Amino acid sequence: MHEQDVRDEINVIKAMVEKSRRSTAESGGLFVFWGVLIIAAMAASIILEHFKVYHRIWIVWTAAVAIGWIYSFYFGIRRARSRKAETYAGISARYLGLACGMGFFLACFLFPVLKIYPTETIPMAFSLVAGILFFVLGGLFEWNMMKWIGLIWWLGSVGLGLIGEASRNLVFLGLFFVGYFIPSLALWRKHRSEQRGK
Amino acid sequence: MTPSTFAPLDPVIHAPVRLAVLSLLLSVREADFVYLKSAAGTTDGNLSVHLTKLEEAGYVAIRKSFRGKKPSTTCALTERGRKAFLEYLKSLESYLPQKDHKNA
Repeated sequence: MHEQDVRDEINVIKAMVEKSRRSTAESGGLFVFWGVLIIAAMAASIILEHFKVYHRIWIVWTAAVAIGWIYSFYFGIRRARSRKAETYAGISARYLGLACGMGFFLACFLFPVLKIYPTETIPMAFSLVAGILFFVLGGLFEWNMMKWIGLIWWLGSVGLGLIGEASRNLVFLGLFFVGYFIPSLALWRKHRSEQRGK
Repeated sequence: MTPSTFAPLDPVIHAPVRLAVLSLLLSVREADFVYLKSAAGTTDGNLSVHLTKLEEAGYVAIRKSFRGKKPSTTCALTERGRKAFLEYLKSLESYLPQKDHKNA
């Protein structure tokens, strides 16, 4: 066997490993869905607050969480059926999504509902979990933009804690657009371009 | 370096399509037939022949199932296949000059 043949074989191995390793398992579709759902629930909460119907706000969020989890379950089954290859990064991303989903549920819904801590702390709790989600996703898919978004969420959680309650929700809404919708759409576009490249 | 210092290459792996398939399966838990065919750039028949050889050697586990009404073939690297592949990489290294071993 010639040295060049060996190099050719090694190049084949490298190319194949890269091909499967770099494919982004996450389509971003579920992120966008949750983003729209949360924005809708926030809008409904603001309207209910405006009309001083405070006791109905928890119903809005219960419905949003239930719809979100049911759709996520359905989305997971559908994706498992259509999946061509299960990468280790994809498996890790799935468990990360589940773990952070549970984190959002406990920290931003159940604990405030059970009055373990006040509802005013929800934006900080959300930012903390979102920071973990995006920072680890950035690490898994070797994508620096996601890591920066994670850092922005963590800085945002500190900032939200320091500013007054009056402007907190508005700042959180801005942070949500920058730190959630932009990366979700970027993830979706990256996934689409990878699908086209196959 | 004399020919006697070259490590023997596993004949089951030493074929371009089989090498590509094992390399792809190394970094995934499992992959379906269509994905392997597209990534390795081969045909249905050719891939089928090579997968059978890998399965007979115990390097790849093949599972046939249905996704809805469509038949699906899923492949995964076995522990034996993983060891054989890593051994193959070591053997390949012996064909390279000493200074290239780290970069290979």
